[in-house]
Amino acid sequence: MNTIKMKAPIKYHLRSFRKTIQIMYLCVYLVMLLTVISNIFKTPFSFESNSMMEFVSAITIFVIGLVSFKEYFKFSLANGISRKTQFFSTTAALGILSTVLAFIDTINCLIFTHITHYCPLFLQIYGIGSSFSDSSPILTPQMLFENFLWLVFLYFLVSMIGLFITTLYYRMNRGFKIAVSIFVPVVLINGFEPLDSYFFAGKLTAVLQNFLSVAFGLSNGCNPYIAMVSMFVFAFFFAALTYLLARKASIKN
Amino acid sequence: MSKIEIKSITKTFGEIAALKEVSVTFEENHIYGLLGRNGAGKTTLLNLLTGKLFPDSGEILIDGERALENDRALSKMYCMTELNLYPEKMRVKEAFRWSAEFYPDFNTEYANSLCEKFELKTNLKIRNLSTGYHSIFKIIIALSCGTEIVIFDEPVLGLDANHRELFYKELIQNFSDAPRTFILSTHLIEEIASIIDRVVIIKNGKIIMDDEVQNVISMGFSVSGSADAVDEYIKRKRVLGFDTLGNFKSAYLLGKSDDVPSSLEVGKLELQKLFIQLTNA
Repeated sequence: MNTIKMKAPIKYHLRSFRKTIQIMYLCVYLVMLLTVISNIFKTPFSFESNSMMEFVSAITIFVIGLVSFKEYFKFSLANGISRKTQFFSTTAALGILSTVLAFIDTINCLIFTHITHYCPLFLQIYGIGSSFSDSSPILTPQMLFENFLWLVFLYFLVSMIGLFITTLYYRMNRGFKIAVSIFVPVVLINGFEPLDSYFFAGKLTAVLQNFLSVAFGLSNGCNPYIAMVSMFVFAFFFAALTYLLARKASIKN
Repeated sequence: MSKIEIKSITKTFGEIAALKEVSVTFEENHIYGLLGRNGAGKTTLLNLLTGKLFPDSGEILIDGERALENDRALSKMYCMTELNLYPEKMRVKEAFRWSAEFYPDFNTEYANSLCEKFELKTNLKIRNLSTGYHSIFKIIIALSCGTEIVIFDEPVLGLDANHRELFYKELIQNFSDAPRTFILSTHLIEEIASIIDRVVIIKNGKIIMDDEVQNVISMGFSVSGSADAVDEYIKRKRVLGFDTLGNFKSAYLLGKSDDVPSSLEVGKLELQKLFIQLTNA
């Protein structure tokens, strides 16, 4: 991997993300403005989605991950960038974007908790989830720092999942794409629970719930640092799979 | 200056062998014509060369360094392909700006001057370019990128005669100003015959000729005259082909032109005629 060669690809990625992020935050601020106005005028309209912003950011960065392979892969090959450099530059760019979004969202949390009834997703899970219904939480510097770190890992993980899915689809032929597109959602949405009940008497679901509870630091009290480590490990896992897929990807007509 | 060495490259697509044990060297400071019929393996060879595909076996060296997944080696080459590898939403001027980021020697001023000559509007999005202007866009980047090796795969696709003429002129000028290695893969052999100085011919995934154009052309000659006189002369000769117009006939032959009667006019062998003969069988 050539670090000098990585500068231009990272710059290209960050420039291509810019418009999407601008539109996303415009929407977030407009919704927040609407919430503030509705509170002022005490209309029947009430905006109760108190972790909307983090969800929007997570979905946006997931979509960015999803669109970060095919077009960029072709463009990079046209510009003499090896697959290895492509992969590392994409990962680095998504890491930078995750950090920037987490930072903006943390600052936004601080602002939103002062102007409206808002509780960050992080605190709903690890902090005062049960006590935020009456008023916004008071955020301490430690909470803000943990919120920031937790969001960095969350956003990086979802972006890596997006990147992995799109790379997997690029490598699959049409038959596999159709099979996976139909089979995976059907099994996950409709088939998992009945199959688990029939074959394992619901144990698989329990194991999965327990695993997620442990992985996200919710088994013995609330420990966000366990979640951060877990999310980093998951992100690394998806990144490794993506690299294995991308390193032998060829140009398609 | 850069030299490309292709050593025993084999590439198959399913059951079809696109390239079979191909070995060829592209020396520095030459304009190569890479010729072959449709499906001969030209594009596959160029895609392997520039890392767009992986070979089944063999290796490609740029200045003695393995080219595969090697940023340093890859940055010495620019390949203009038939495919559009640029984002469709990107504007021409943005593509130039990014090319300058990826290729430090990209000459934006020169690219803009070429845009004026070819009448390409830099504000246009790539998806809005016609086939011809799409080729022009890629030609301009290739000529301006400043790499030591520049590859053109079907560069004149969709170009009218005026633009083709302009492209050839600019290519020669570019080469004169900064000699480097150009590889031209095209079907318009007659048009590039006077530009290229070396020719590589691929047939069915194998290199069947790799020589200087002068040597290739001197392998034979043409004779023209009345059909009867030409027919009489070409008996027991190795004839590559002939053209007839009324009673006037031209024949293309292999060998020396020592015994041509004075009633016939002797001319040079055309590269295209030789190519057709070599690749028809």
